[in-house]
Amino acid sequence: MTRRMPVTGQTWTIAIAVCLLAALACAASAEIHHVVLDNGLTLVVLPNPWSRAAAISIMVGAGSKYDPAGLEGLAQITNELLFEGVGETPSDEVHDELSAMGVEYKCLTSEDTAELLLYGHENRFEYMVDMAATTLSEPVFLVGRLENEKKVALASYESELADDWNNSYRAVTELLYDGHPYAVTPLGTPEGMDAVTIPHVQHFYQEHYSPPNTIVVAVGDLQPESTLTLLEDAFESYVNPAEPPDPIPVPERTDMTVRKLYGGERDGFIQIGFAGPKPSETDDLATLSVLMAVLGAGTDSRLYTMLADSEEEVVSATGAFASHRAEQVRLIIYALGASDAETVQDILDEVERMRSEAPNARELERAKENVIGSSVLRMQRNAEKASTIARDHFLGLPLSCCETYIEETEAVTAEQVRAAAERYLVNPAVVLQRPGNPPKRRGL
Amino acid sequence: MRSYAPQKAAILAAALIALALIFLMSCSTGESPSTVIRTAPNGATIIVEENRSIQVVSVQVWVRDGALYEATDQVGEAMMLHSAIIDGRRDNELLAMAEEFSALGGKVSGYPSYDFVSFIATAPSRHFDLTARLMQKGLVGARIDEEDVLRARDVVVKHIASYEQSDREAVYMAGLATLIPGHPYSVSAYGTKRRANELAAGDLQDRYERMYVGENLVITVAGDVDAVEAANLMESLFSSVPAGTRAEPSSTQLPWPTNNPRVVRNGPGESAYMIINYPAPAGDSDDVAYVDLLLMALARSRVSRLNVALTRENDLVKDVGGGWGTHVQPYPFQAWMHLPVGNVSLAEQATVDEFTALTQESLSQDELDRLKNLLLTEIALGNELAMEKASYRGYWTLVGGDDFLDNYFSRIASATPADLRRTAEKYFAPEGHLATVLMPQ
Repeated sequence: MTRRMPVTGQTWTIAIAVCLLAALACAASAEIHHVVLDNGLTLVVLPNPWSRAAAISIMVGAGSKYDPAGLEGLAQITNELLFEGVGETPSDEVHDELSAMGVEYKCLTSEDTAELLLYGHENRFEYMVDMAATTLSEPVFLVGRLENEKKVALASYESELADDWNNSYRAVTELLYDGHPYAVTPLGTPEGMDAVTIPHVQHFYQEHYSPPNTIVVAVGDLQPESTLTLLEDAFESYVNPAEPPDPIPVPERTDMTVRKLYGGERDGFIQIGFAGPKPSETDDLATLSVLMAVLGAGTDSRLYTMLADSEEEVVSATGAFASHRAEQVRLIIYALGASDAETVQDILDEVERMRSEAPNARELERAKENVIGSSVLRMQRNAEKASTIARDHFLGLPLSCCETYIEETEAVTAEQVRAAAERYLVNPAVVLQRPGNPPKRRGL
Repeated sequence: MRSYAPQKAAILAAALIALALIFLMSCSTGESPSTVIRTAPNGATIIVEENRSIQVVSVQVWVRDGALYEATDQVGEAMMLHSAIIDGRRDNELLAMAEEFSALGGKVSGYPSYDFVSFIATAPSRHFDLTARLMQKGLVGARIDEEDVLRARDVVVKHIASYEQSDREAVYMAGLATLIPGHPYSVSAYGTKRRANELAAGDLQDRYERMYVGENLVITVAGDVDAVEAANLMESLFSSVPAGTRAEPSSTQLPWPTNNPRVVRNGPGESAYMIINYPAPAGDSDDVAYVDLLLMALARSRVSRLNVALTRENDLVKDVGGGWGTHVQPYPFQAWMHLPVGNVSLAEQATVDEFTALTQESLSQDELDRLKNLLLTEIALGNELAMEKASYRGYWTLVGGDDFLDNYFSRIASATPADLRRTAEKYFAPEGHLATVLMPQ
């Protein structure tokens, strides 16, 4: 027999409390949930009840910095080959099946990590998990696909060379990280790619693709507990015992370096890079973003104002930003339309002013708004959220990092910005890309 | 990889799709507390879709104006007015607000079409108030002067020049001119340079007073805002807009001609480009959901019928795609392809065969379930951004009608193989197609 409770004021209070708790639970469900399994695999779920899209990022600390000498490109090829044949299903059938299911995918290799990113409608989430787990746990590395992957990688390399921005950025990183694997683009080198064999790929997989060196991040309208269980079950056969590799220290820069490039489609292009700190070893991340925004984001920025005021209107666009995508922050300034020493000096003078003169209240406010604005506009898609959480994990940042970013940015002070400039905007790597051919040498 | 028995997998997939559809329907009907749909006293439709997972808001104003509401030989005024408002106006207060908005990370955009013009402002949601007021400042009580017209004319004439130089555009429009001659859809929505040069500030001001009225406005907001508060604010900001009169199309759709001869234009390059047109329903038709599912079958994914037939099995084309720009009045459903000149006839026949097959044989339930999923995926992935969500609402309200999305999702959910076959029979008869080809000279 069911006992009915009389509806009293107390009942209403309880009902309202239950509703409030439910609402709080709903709000709380948007928090990141994670677990580290006994085997070291990190599983993360970010519930997003507002979207019908679901995404899963599987990121492994197997980026191009671990390419052995002479095999530059191995990490990228290994990552791509993982998805060229899954379990007993050959490559074309895998891609057909994904396409038929409406599941999109990307294989992304950076200096630090290799990522498989799958996204689609939430009703394909279990399929995506299954596909990702099988890909990672039962790689087949088909010999027949290797040459094709090399061709694709080489085409990407050449396309990067042909692009002024990428080519200059590559030169900046070469200067910044001379002697370190970061000096080589994640795509590798043509010679390195050519030397890669299937045994190399298998060995690289065995060395790096292991649970302690992997994070799985799922974002979507997901129930945290059951999703974590689902992920745990799906990845139970991912058992490679390899330990994460030791960090590779980045050499300290002691001087300014300059490189001139020729060719390209623009009238001229200047890129200037500075080596920032390791994200995991600094409290300055938000400060660095604000610093670069004061220098080069928007029409109020110092560089824009300085170049707009100059008599020679050679610079058509300029900007500055802090890239947090690698295990060392890169601080980049660029100017389009110019490649002369005078413009470089003007920019470096402005950098020098930044080191000595803290931003005023308006500059600081505008820069913070710019940093926050670009961050929130970028972080709308579930796939982007999944990738960012995974990448932050490998950068040694807390899993809640992207949620606290606004607060951290708002807390940055003018003096912190100036101090960060003084500390980090030193020993620039300068690249000038000029149109046309290199000047002929005189004499001989 | 786990393997499922096909039947179990199909049942599971069907169940998941049904659940997904029920959820989508609840979102689109306005029953969800996170969405508010209301009509303001001046007739403006206000739709706010709350989304707390993103810290962004998009505020958009969609106006029932465009070439469809102009006589064919007068087309261009709506575009010019849109451009004058977006690119032309130099009101000091408005410029200061726009500059402030941009400095805070906001983006302004907008696009015109045959059936509507849209104005879009997207920013971090902490600046919702400024975003909403910027839209009000730009669109309520606007005064267009001759300087505004000069700036707008410059933009419009560049669009027309770019359109005139495009061989693809020429062959595309040649097909429309053959199928729906005299209809505004058959000419460029930007009109002609002559028309652009004729228009003066007074013309645009008159049009603004007539068309930018409550009965023609759909105001959409999506993002990290309280839905009710945001709807109240938008209603208040646009309350001074007069109700006016709802715009009516200047043309009615002509009957679709049959047994059309191929239309050929000459252009540069070494390979041919072919578009195959079929009739399709108007935006408010109950058939829209079914035609969208047929589009999934024909031209979406690597295993689409056209890709398999034309590329994989017969190697007739370099690539093939398909699409359908749903409009207020019927507009062609199209398949397009790049191909060797010698394959044009074979590819046309193979394409027609694939369309015809849909009229002759029903899809299996498994394939239909897969197509429903593909369509839902396209919608889900295309509606993650605040800007996309607000645009989706605005577009379908103006093109399909106030309750279009409610019906649309329930029709997808309930669609049967027989529904799709009946729809294919209605639109994909072989004699109804028209091939337009850009042939290398």
